Amino acid sequence: MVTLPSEQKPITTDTFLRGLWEENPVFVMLLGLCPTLAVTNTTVNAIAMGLATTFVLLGSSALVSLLRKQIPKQVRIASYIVIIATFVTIVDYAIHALSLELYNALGAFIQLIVVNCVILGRAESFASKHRISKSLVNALGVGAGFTFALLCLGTVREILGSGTLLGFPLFGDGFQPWVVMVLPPGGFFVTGAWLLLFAWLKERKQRKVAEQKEAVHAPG
Amino acid sequence: MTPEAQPQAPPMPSSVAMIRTLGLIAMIAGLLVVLAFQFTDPIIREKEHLALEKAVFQVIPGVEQGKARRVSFALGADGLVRLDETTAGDANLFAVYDDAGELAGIALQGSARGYQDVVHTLYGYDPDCECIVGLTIMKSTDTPGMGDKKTVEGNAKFMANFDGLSTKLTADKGGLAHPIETVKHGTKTQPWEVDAISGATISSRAIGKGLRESTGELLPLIAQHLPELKAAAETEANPDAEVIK
Repeated sequence: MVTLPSEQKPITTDTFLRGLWEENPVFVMLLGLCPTLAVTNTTVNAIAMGLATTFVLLGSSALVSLLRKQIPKQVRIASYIVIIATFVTIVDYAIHALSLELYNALGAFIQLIVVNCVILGRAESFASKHRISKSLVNALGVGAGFTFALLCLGTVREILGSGTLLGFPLFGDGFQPWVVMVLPPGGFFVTGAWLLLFAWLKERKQRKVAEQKEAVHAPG
Repeated sequence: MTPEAQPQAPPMPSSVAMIRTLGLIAMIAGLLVVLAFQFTDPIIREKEHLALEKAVFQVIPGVEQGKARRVSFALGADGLVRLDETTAGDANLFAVYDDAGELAGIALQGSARGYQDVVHTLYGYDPDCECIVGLTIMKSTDTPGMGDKKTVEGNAKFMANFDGLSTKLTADKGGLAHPIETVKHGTKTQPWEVDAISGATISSRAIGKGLRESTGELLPLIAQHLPELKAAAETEANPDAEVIK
């Protein structure tokens, strides 16, 4: 059987799904935790940060992939950082123009997307080795995975910490918000709880696979 | 180790190739950033202008935004400078005139460090009663649910502090007779005291401190320039930013 080099392998659903689930940047690889913990105190902030990061991922992956044959190895990191910073600046202007309230709420964390290791990681390990279409699909998957993780955190933190979802009150006046959930410690608690859930799901899946194998190999 | 087993270092590309690549990337980056700036800058300016306009009319009660007029000034030790819309970014004083051209109030900015970051406020000052007549938070990243804009502005008891907060000047108009003081929740006894929010004392103190510093610096200067400020509604903005000494 002829094995194709990784660059020529076709785009499959796995190219997209890998970043969303199996290699989820937050829940599996534990990357980009700084914005994950800092801006997920409301669902809107989480969605905005997720979309901004996805945009930067798509833009930088496309440009890195396009220029991959021109960028000498010795200056690749400097090149990637300049490319990422460009798209972060664009997204910073875009959010500022879209909503002042959102821009103020996200604060310095938009600019800090530059140092989000999820993006540099994608540029270095994927976009610099694959053609543009495949890099874009992969970046979209990772972006969706990051947004999904942020949304998981933001929803739980907003419901428990403010008693609202997307700003709409869920409970009556008698609800006492669990304020710690919108504070930094709440970010750690909720991340920990989600990691626990994902670890449990993974373990259960592995156990089922092992049981099935045993059943197949069992005598009789 | 045999010579064949030694790892082969990749050949070093020429400096020209590296400079060319970095130059090309910098050029693409510059082009994209400039395009994004050109496209979003007018929208951002317009939004900031509208947000400021809304905030100014929010802190000065009794005027209708549609009928009243706002004029921006830069007030400092070297004088009062009237600004037009293109230079309004440097403004630190916004005078509001009613439809009859009378000075209805003055909006000023205050800022001091809060729990997370600097809390920026805008407050309305009435030179006739020498008191603060309204306040809004322009920017605060303090704890959501405790010291953020929505929670603080939603606290009617705390906001009532800024409905007639005394900022009386001394007889020679050289300073405040009683600088604004933030006191512990439920212990306010004087008209120049701000009753803090229980559980958000740091945010309350930041708002009080921002007001104290801003009023201490600007109100004596306003007293000096009050006749010019009252008359400013009658004259149109000078594009050369006329200095009223």
